[in-house]
Amino acid sequence: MTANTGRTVNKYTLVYIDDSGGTLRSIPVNSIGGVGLEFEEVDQSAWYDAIKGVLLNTPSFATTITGPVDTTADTGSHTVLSAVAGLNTPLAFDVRIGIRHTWEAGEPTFGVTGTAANGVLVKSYKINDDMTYSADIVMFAGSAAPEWATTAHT
Amino acid sequence: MANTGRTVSKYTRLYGGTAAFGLDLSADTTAFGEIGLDADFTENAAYSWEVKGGILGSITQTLGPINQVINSDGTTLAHDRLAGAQGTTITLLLALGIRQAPTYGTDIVAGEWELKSYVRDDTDGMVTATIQLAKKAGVVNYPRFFGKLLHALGAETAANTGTTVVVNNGAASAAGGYFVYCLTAVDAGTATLSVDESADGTTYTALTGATSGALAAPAAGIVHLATDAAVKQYLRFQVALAGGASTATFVSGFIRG
Repeated sequence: MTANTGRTVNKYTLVYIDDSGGTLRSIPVNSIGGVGLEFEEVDQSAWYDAIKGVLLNTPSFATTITGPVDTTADTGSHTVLSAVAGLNTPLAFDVRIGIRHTWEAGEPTFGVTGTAANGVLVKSYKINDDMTYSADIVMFAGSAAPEWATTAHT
Repeated sequence: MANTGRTVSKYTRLYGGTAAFGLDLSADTTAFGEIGLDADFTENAAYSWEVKGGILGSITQTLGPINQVINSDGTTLAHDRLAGAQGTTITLLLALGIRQAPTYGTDIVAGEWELKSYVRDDTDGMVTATIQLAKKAGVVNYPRFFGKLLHALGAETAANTGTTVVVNNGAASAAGGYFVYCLTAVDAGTATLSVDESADGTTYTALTGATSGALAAPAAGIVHLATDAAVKQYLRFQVALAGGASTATFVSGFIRG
């Protein structure tokens, strides 16, 4: 099949993260807080400027994913996240936005390929009484920035 | 064998106690709030970094607030025990049953908390209480507290010699861990709860250090192993009855480092 273009809905979005062994896994997710870089605004206005203005400094990325607690071997949300939460090993992370079908190359992705120096960390992992989870994703110090692309991050 | 996949809260079970009592709290617990871990994190950026980032620091483990229906006989039921344990350390084991009541292999979360408050709620209907917990300081060697149930709540009348009710970790580990137990009944004498380990799933020996010691009455507790202790691939529960004991009812689990 070829990549679609145009608009889509959430059910074609997949979230991938490395497990504790470094294998990229698609885990059950039903919300993701925000996908993209946010650049720091630094007001560099001078008094005699006609209008105030900013320059953009280093961006940041952090998000929260939620979903059902799932103990499926290898790919369950609890299986993957409970084993990596709180650890300082960078993880690959990829959000693949399928355009009206299962994602394929040519369609949007946002993420970072995992290496010893690049990736995300799972800052927190919490299980709620209704058997859903939430996990906070943050960037490892000095990592390459996650990016918008049309190929998979692995 | 435990199911895998997704579930709903009605299959959750909560067990807990102290050296003075061990209870199945599931019949009175209506909600456990939230359980999880959260690491300290400060975002920073050097000039040449592409994106701000950081390194995870100390981890906070949280559980609660726990909501319970007040159930009292004046001495031994959940309200009596928990109200009496205010201000002390309590061991709690939360078993996440997956579309069935917990069984061996079920994922668990367990640890020791300070029971900082047990407060009757001001609500209509059944009288309830809210339990607030804080993580016990100074004795926790392990920042993560996810493990496996070795023995679902039930009675045993003899030592375990079986090789099927076992938890297979997939590989041995060398990062220690801790044994958690909750004995809810013993008819006489003492019961000693412990963990056996095996490299091949057939021949088992005692996991050194993972024992409750002789318990003459219901109790709950945690036994930490050294953080570099070797733990074999397969684990099973073990119980030793002595001094005239013929049956012990308990739940036990193990959290690997």
